[in-house]
Amino acid sequence: MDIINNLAFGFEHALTMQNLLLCATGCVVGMLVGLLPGLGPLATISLLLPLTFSLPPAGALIMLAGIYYGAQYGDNVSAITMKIPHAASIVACIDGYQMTLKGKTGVALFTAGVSSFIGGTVAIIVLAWLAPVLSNVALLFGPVEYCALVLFGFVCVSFVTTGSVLDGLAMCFVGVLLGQVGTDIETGGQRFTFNIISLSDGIHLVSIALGLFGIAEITKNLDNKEHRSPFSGAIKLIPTWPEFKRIFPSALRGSVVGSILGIMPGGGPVIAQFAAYAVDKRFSKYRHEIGQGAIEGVAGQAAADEAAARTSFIPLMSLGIPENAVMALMMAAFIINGIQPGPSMIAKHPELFWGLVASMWIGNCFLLLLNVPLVRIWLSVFKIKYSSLFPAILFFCCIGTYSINSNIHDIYTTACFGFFGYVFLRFKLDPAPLILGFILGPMLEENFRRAMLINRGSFEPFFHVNWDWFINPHDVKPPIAAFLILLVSMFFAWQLISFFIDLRKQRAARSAAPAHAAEPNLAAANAPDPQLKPEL
Amino acid sequence: MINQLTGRGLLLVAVALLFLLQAPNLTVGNLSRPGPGLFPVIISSILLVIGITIIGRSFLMERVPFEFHWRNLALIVVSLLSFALISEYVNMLAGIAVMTTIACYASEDFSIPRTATIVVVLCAIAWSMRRFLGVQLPLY
Repeated sequence: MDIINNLAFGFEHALTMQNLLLCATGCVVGMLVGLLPGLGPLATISLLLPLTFSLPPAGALIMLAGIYYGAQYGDNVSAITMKIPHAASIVACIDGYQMTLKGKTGVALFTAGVSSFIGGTVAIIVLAWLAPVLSNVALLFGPVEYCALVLFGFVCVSFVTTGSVLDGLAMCFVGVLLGQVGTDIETGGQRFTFNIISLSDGIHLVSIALGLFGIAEITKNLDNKEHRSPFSGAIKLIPTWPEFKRIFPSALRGSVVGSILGIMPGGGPVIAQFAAYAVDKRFSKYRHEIGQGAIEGVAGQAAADEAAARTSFIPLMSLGIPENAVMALMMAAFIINGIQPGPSMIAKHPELFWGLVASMWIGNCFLLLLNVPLVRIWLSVFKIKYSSLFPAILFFCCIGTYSINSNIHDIYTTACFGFFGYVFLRFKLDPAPLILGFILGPMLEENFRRAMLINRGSFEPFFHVNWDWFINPHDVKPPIAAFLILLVSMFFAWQLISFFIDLRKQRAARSAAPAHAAEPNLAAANAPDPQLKPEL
Repeated sequence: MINQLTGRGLLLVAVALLFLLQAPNLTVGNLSRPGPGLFPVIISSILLVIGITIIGRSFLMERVPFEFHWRNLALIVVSLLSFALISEYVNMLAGIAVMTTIACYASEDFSIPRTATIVVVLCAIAWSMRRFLGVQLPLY
């Protein structure tokens, strides 16, 4: 009953005229920007972040959340209609675009909308139930546990986003180092400012995010010749009853998969989509059709996408640790608006927490009501050519950077990170872990220094296991840090082993006759198009 | 030809060294009494090790060619810098015009009428942001 009480309390706060308007604006603007090629959730949020500065905290959070899942949905729309993949919609390109080719665009969009709605609803129930429970667990966390958790998060995110723990971890640490620039929290001394006055406050998150995800992406997109699949514009929206019935089992499966994977560190929408798609391929009644434009191929992944996007708020709001780059950006946005996400958030600002949860559901309704019937209007964005569009994005990057502090010098920082972002992209280094490292860096340092002070410079507490816990789990502190460190080392061991296995396979393939090279790869035939590189 | 994988490692090593060589200016302290320099030293040393590992790894793997297009990158960065410089010393409307013109030059189909249209539209947006949303922009 508590949940219903709390949710009703949340709706009371979310259903004010102002908050409703902000939620709707966030959803629409987020979706429109999310539709644009090369602008995934990370870029969209950083581009629109300055919009929320002048709002009251509750409104700002609601709008930001609206922007976030609006952007997710927008990615889905452009994937289904024109096969433009973003990081958040690689899977939607497979069956969704196949449905478009069959002339079922409307049904695909409707399916995606309804499934997102189902996924979102399931996730909100999970969120409302689990977040308060987890924030009690957070009380067991001291500095040592926080350090271990952050490290574990780094490793998971590196593994998920880049596939190679080493590359991702390196980017995380580059981010951590960038987070050191500015004034030291404890002594007040200047660090790594290179005698530039505007760096003494540290590098602003918006400068980094817009440089890495805005400017660098624009430059990369300009390098590629523009080619878009044409979209006819003919849309029949409402599916027939048998089609409609097929949505539900897949959407429910997707919701469960998405909710679970959304909570895992390093998890989130992208991995949830792949998992839901795989689950559907195995368990759906229509599994033979998946890959050729089946409703299940759209429904499952859309539900998982939305569910994971919601449940990934759980670690942020209960432990105060973001589990992926988008959440790290959200956390920074929370802090800019004066709210520290973490275990005390639910106790200190219940109206914010429950209002946000309720507004997610309202946002879901908006997306369904606004976007499905009006999708034709939104798609007219694509009539604008990229060569007219990118100066405008550039302009908004500049204005966004400037408006944080009304300081022109911040634009130099953005330009600098645009340059480095492009260099990183060309070296195939994913900038997403860098943002996570940048935001968690100061927290990691604070907790590390505290842990070292408390334990007189000994690393022993990181590995300490009190064996009594296995006998008497209620009275003894569980060995959280040691467990997390064990998981981290398992990741490394696994990477090392798989690297050498790959190496041996490569050598074997090279020594074998080149005749084998032409052999069709069965696994690749089912996997998404290799050209569909994730874009962030 | 630069190998992308080796280059990646070299880039990371360079970043690590940039921070590591700055660190002695700060008080490092020791583990039980950490100073402001300790944490950066630890992190950049780990980064250095990772970078060297990546360089080492690249010799075991197949070479990947490194491609880099200077032209677009240079145009975009120069357009941003000129926006900042002109906004600071002249005004922001002129900054928008110059930035847009330089940036548009990066696209394949540069045309003067279209660039002019974009400049006018963006200036109008900037003006209405200042007029109606109250964003403080030093436009003129």
